[in-house]
Amino acid sequence: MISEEDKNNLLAKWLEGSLSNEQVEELKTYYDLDILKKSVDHISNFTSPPYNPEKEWSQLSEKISGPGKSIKQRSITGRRLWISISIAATIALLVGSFFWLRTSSFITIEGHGEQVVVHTLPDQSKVTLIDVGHIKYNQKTWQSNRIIELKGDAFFDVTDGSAFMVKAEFGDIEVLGTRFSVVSEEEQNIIKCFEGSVLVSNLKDATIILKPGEGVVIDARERILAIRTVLSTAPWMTNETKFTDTDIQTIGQMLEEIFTCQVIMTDSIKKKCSGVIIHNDLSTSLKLICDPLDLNYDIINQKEIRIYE
Amino acid sequence: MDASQFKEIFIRYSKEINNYIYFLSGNENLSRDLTQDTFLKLWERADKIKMQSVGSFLYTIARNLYLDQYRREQVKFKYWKSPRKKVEIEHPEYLLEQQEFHEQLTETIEGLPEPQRVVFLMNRIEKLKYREIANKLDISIKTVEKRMQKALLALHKLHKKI
Repeated sequence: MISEEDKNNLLAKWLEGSLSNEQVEELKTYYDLDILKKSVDHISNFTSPPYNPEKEWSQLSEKISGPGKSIKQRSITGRRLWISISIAATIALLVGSFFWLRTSSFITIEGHGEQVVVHTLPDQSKVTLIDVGHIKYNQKTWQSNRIIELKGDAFFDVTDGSAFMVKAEFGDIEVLGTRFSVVSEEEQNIIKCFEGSVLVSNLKDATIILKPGEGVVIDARERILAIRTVLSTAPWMTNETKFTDTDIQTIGQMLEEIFTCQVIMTDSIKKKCSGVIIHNDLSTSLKLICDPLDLNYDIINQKEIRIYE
Repeated sequence: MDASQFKEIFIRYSKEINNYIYFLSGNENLSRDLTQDTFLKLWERADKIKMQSVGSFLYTIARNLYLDQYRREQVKFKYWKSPRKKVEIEHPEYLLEQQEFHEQLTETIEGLPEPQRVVFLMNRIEKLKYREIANKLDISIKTVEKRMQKALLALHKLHKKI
């Protein structure tokens, strides 16, 4: 039996070989360890790029001559020169914008995490800040130029009008009248569309248009990692989510959204049902879903749920 | 630290620092460039550094140098573009399958957040134990396990898609 303490990081422990045979057998009921082993073994055969320390040393030793000092001025390569120019330009811009900012009417609203902060913009669009983070926009130019900077998580309810743009940490989001949210997770942004359509631009790979019920995950390098099915409302706006005649795979994705967890189930489960997910009660929600469908479930830890027949 | 000690440290650590930056950036030339810069920084502070702590200090310098300037560049492991096969005679369909499999794995690694990617590759390619990685990066073993777990979950998820 896998102990409560070991439920975390079990795959990591399996790979290191610190699980008992019994624990491995139990882990096999949750994961396809054979195929995972094949991938891991394949990657283990990758080699690092060639590197010759002696040769590199001869280059480095030319640059130094006494302790505590780097002597020779290194030549600025094209890339470094470009970076230097970029830094100089950024500093110039920052200094410039400092003086400009003092005379403009920027509004900054901070979220504090204890309760949601709802802010009404000059055009009656609403921004809900869910956690710590902030929004910033120019009150004076708002009517003609609806651009808002966002750091953190927010839900937007945008009134019809000119283009509305959110400059999030990764990617720009342009919308017309719509409801959508931006969630920042470790090293990634998740943008979800609840109503209307949302255009996410300034990405490495492509521009993407989200329809209601769609979400996109963007990483720190502004690449699209995944496109997901999302809820019709942001979880924090209500206490429960109802669903009608929905297949279990989609319900799994809804559970992942609401409880920020991973749901593991085989694609072969294809049952459908109607019901409700209670946002602050994972085990009751799972019971309400799985019992009528005659499915079993395990909450491996609060971050992983397994559903099986 | 005198010049001969410094050389000793360079010969001993520079390859692993070079690999570390490669795991962070996916860029061979940048790795060699930043490895040199890392050791120059160490040399500049040679009088202040204790020999015992030099290992994890080098990782910290390398990481800071990389994060300062290059973090937003896209990670592409060109060196791993195609599998280096030992057996040449294979069925063409099998080879194609292997190539796809290889590419999907490489892309999954490229898509991992930096901390997970680095820990995972240090374990797989440098064959370091979790404890050794924790010591080098000055983080707890629990953190190493957590990052490994997440990387393995991402690989497992890939198979659900295939």
